[in-house]
Amino acid sequence: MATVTVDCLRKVFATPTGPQTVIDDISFEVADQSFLSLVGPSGCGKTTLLNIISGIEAATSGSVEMKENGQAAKLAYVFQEPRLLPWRSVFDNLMYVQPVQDDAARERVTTALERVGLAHAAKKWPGQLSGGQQQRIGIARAFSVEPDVLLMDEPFSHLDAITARGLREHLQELWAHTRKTVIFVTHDVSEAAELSDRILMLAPGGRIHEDIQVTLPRPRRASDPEVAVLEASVLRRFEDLEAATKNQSAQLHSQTA
Amino acid sequence: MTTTTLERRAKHTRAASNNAPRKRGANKLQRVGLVLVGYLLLLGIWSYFSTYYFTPYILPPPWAVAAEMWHLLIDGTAFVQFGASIGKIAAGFAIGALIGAPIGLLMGRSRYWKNFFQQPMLVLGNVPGLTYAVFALILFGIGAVGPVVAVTLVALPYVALNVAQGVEEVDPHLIHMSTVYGRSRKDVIRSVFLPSVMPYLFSALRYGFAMAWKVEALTEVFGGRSGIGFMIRAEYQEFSVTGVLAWTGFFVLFILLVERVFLAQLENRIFAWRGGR
Amino acid sequence: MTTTEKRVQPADSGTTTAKVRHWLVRPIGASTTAAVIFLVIWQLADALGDRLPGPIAVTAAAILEVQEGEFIDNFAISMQRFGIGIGLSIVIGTVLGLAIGSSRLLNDVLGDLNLVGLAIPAVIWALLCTMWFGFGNTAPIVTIVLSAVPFIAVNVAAGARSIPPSLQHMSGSFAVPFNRRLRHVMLPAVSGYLFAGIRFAVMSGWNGLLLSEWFGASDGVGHRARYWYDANRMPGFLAWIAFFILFMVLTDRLLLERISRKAFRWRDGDADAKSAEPAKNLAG
Ligand SMILES: Nc1ncnc2c1ncn2[C@@H]1O[C@H](COP(=O)(O)OP(=O)(O)O)[C@@H](O)[C@H]1O
Ligand SMILES: [Mg+2]
Repeated sequence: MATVTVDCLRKVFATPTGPQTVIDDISFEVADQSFLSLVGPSGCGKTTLLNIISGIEAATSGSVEMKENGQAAKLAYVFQEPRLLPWRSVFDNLMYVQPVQDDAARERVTTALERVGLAHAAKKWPGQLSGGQQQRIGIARAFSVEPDVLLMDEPFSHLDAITARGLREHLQELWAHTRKTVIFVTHDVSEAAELSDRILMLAPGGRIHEDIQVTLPRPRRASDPEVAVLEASVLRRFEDLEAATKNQSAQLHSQTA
Repeated sequence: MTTTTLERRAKHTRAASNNAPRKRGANKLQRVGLVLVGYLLLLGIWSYFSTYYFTPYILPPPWAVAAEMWHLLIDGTAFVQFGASIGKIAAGFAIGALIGAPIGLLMGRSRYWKNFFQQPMLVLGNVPGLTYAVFALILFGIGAVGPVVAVTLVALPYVALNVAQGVEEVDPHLIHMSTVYGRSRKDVIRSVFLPSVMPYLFSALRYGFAMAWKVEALTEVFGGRSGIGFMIRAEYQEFSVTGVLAWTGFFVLFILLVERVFLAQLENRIFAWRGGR
Repeated sequence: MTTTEKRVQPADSGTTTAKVRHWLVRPIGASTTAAVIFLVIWQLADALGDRLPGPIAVTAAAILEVQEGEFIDNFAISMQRFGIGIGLSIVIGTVLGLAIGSSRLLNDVLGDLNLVGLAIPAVIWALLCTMWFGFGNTAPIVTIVLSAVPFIAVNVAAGARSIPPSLQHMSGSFAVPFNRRLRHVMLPAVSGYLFAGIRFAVMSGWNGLLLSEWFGASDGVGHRARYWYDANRMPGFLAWIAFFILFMVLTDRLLLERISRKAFRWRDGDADAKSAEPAKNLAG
C-alpha cells in the first residue's frame, strides 16, 4: 500500500528580483497503485514539485509523506534527461542504484533491460546509444529497483513522436504488469489522457486548477476516440485557465495603473 | 594538444568503421612513413648546415651526436643520469599533487577559498623557471632537495587549478540522481566525483609533467650533482656542443616515449567511454 | 559554497566590524588576505633564517635599482629583444600552425617535430644559442623564437582544425575566393586560439629571454639579475626576480587575458569553450 500524501506544500525561491512563489499551498493524495498525471504549462512548477517529493529540494513549508505498509516507501525517479553516468556501462549504471549488489540485483537489472528491449546494449556506454535508447535506460533503471513509488518528469518530451509513442505503450504495459504508484509530469495533454487514472492541472503560480478523474478502460491507445474526446475536454479547460490568468493579470494591471 | 589526441582517436574510429583492416594497416603505414619523412627532413637540414656552413665544433653533424649518444648508452651514464632525474621528478610531483589536490578540492567547493588561492596559484604558475632554479639553489644548496622542491612548486598550481575546475564541473544532476536512489557518500565519490575529475587530473599530469621536466632540468643546470641538467651543464662548461646535443637527444627520445606510448595508453584505458561517441 | 555567502548579513552592515567582515569575504578581500599572509611569512623567514632577505629589504633594493636608472636601461634593452623575438615567433608560428592544422600530410610530417619543440627546455636553447652566437642580441632573440614558436603553432593548428568542414564546403560551393575565405573563415576561427597561443608563448619566451641573458649577454634584465647573484647580494637579486614576476603577471592579467577573452567572444555561449581552454594557462 504505497500512498503519497502532499500536504499544504509551499515553495518560494529567492530570486534577484525578490521572492517568487512557485508552489502555492498544494495538497493532494495519490492512491495506491494509481497513475496520476500532473499537467501544466512549462515553468509552472512541475519539476520543482517532483524534486520536493523526491527529496532533492526542500519545501518552504508543508510536508510530503510516502508510506508503504507503514514504512518509508522505496522511490525511483525518471528525470527529464537520462542522467546516466557516461563513464559506466549501461549494465553498471543500473547496478549503481541497487541497494545490495548481489545476484538477485543482477537478475533484476537484466530483466529491466529486457523489458525496455535493450538487453543487447548492456555492455555499451551511454554515449554509444541514441537519445531514445538512453531514455529507455533511465526508465529501466527506475524499474530495476522495484520501487513502491515511481516519479517521472516529462520522460518522453525530448523524443521524436514515433519513439515516444512506442515508449508510452511500453510504459502502460510495464505499469499494468507491476502496478506501481506513479506520479507522471507532462505538458502534453494527450499523453496524460492516454496514461492516467487521474489528472491534476496546475496553474501558473503553483495552484491546482482542476482535478480530473479518468475512468476509460485500459489498455488505451493515443488514437482511441475516447482518449481524443478526453484530450479535447482537458484542452478546453486549459483554454479557460489561460483566459482566467489573462483576466487576472489584466485586473492586476488596471489596479496598479 | 588535447585536441590532437581527440582527433587522432576520431580518425581511428572512422578507420575502424570502414571495416577494412587492410586499408587501416596501409593508412597507419603511410602515417608512420610521413612521420619518418619529417625526421629525415630535420636530419637532412641539420647535416647540410653542419657540413657546408659551420665547423663541427659549432654544429656537429647528426652522426657525431648519435655516436656520442651511443657511447653514453653503452657505458650506462645515460641510464644513471636519467634515473636520477626521473626519481627527483616523481618525488616532487607526488608531493605537489598531495598538497595541490586538497587545495583544489577546497577551491572547487568553496567560493571563499577559491578567491583566496586563485591569484597565488596563478602567480606560482606564471613564475619564470629561472626563479625556481635559483631559489632552490639559494635555499637548499647544491644537491637533490632543490630540484625536488622546484618540481613540487611547479606541479602544485597545475594540480590545484585543474582539480578545482574538475570539482566545479561535476554535474549536480548526477549527484541528485544518486541521492534519490539512496547512494552513500562513498558510492558518490567513487562513481560520480572521481570519474568527473579524472580528465582534469589527467590534464594536470600531462602538462604538469612536461613543465616539471623543464624546471627540473633547469634546476640541475644551476645546482645539481646528478641528472641530465647537471650533465648538460658539464658539457656546456667544456664547450662541447656535441655533448649538449646528445643529452638533448635523450631528452627528446624520453619525452616522445612518455607522450606517445605511456600517456596515450593510459588515456585510452581511462577514457575509453568517451571514444564511443 | 552557500555557507560562505550566507555569512554576509546585509542587515547589520552598519557597524564597521561588519563592514570589514563583509569586505574580507569578497574576492578582493580574500586575495588581499592571501597576499598579506604570504608577506608576513616571508618577513618571518627573513627574521628567523639568514639566507632569505625579507620583503622590506627587497623593496629597498628595488627602489634603489629604479633610482639609479638600471631598471629602465635594462628593461629597455630586454623589451627590444623580447618584442623582436615574439613578433618573429607569431609570424613563424602562425604559418607553421596553419600548415599543420589544415593539411593532414603536413600534420604527419611536422606534428612530431612540434611536439619535440614543446618538450625541449628553454635552458638548452639558451646554452646552445650562447655557444652558437656568442654574446649579443642574436642569442636571446633566437632563444625566444625557439622556445615560443611551438606554443603558437600548436594552438593555431588546433584553431585551424576547429574550422567546421561544412564551412569550408560551403565556401567551396559558392566559389568564395581564397583571400576572402582566409579573412572571413580561417582567421576568425583561428584568432582566439592564436591569442591563447600567444599567452603561452609570452610566458615561455620571457623565460627563455631571462635564461639567455643570464648565460650569454652583458646587458638586459637577465644579466642584471645575474650580476647581483654573482655578487652574492640577495636583496638586489630578489628585487629583479620580483620585477620579472610582476611583469609577467601584469602582462598576463592586464593585456593578454583581455585580448584572448575578446577574441573568443563569439563563442561565449558555448559550453565547450571552457574545455577548449582548460586550466593549463601556465607555460613558464
Ligand atoms: N533554483 C531555482 N531558483 C530560482 N527559481 C527557480 C529555481 N528552480 C526553478 N525556478 C523557477 O520556478 C519555476 C518553475 O520551474 P520548474 O519547476 O522547473 O517548471 P516546470 O513546470 O517547467 O518543470 C520557474 O519559473 C523557474 O524559473
Ligand atoms: Mg520541468
